Amino acid sequence: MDQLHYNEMQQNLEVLLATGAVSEKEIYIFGHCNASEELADLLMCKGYRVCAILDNNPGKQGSYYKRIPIIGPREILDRDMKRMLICVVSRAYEAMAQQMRQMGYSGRLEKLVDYNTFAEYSLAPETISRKRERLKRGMEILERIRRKYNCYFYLLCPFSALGDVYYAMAYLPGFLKKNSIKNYAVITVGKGCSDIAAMFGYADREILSQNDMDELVQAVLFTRAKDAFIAHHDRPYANLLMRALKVKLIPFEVLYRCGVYGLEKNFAPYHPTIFQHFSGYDSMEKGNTVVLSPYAKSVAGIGDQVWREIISYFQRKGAQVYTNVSGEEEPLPGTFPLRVSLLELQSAVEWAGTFIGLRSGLCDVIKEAHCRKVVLFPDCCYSDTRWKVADFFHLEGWENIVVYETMADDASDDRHRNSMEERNAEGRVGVIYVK
Amino acid sequence: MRCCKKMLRALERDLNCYDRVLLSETPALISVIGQLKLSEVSDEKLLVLSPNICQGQSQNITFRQISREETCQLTKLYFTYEFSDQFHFISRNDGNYASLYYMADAGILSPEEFVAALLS
Repeated sequence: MDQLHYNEMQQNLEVLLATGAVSEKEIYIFGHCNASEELADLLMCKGYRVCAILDNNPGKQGSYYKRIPIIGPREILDRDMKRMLICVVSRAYEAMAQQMRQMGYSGRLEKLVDYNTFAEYSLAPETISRKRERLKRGMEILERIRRKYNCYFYLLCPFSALGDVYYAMAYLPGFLKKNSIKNYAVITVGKGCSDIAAMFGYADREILSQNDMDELVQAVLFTRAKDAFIAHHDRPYANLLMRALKVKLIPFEVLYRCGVYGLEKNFAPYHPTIFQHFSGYDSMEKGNTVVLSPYAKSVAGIGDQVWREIISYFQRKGAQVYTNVSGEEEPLPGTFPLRVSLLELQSAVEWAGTFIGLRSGLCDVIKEAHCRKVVLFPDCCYSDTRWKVADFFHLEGWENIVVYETMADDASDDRHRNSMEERNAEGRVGVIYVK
Repeated sequence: MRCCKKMLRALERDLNCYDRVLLSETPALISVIGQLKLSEVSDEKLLVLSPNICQGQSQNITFRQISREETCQLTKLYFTYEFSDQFHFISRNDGNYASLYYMADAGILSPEEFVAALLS
């Protein structure tokens, strides 16, 4: 979860706590994802117990996050709903709320983060009126962009996720050539995503806030603008591409190549060519340094114990250990912070010699780096699909390792272990068991 | 853009009665859905709206012809905001976002897989 949304979640939670809405309630969180784990951590930090995380994905049900069971939503319907509070920090809030009401849930449901300004499941006149006003603002943004970049084509990267933008940029030349587009501007959310575009050499770039981007996207959809394209695998709501994952495992990169841009199966990606040299050479030991990257938006985290073991292992071998951080992220205990721009990162990890990261967009940014590269995956499924994140986000040329964390009394341990050993026998992923 | 109250009421009724409502201008897609053994793919009640079809019922799919004006109004509403996750506008005309059709074009999905994904 990015800092802006985290702050919003924190503030909304404080309001809820202050009004007494949480006291003496059974607290549930709907939707297992990185954001819901952060909410669970926040609640536990404040001394509250989360009874369960609800998730429609059968692949996630029966597992745990820090001893919080993940169960199907129906399992709570026979409990006293007056005493329940379901918190939602997922962008599918509207669909989740509708689902719970249709199931007969009559307890309290709270949205703690407004991720999805496109959706409001209502046909009431005031809703339509409000959404028309939003659309009008979007059209004004579109006109402003058109005035600034006259007669250009506009490539919109609608979500602030480095990996999404990386692949949008990697296959953009193919799309531009296919559509005979010569002049274009890349529009992203936030500087980080704009830097990704810069790495690929795209000179005309515009940065918008998430809210402005959402409104611009709506205007592009409504007007069916011929001079704009929304380059994303699951936004906006009109994009049904992710349904392909309901029937087949399709790797993330292929979704961009074929599903977003309509290119052929074997179309080769372009690679970033603009890098900056790492400026911290004198403080970092060449070839004997490990750079860790423990933070991610799209996949759930892995436990602190795993990182402690990794840090301890390499420090015993005499290596320096750094944590790549940005914004308000903190380095892992016992490590040095590495604060470099995205353009410097490849140079930095090549100097270091080893990169070990939780699967995130940062791994895509340095996917061609010449160093030892290890990517760690939690043992869970991607979004509401039945596909493991390790399969969906697999990185060729990397050591792909699934971290399987269990509780000491987990009876399903052997079942999971057998499944992991079969996957390991295929030679595709490595496995770490952590109790 | 003005949506008449009658259309909105009808839309609300349809969203309550059906699990999924598809609006399509593409005769080829409607034909494929009509030929599909839907029970093998989905047990949902599906309503297909289009100016290019004949009224009818096939398995758990209802086909309803609507006017071009209604199609235009519904399309505009659809692209104003996400008013439901049960309603989708499907068009083969290459839009300005990703498309499930591209997966079929690239041979990643077979025609049957494409329809199964669409109705999932």
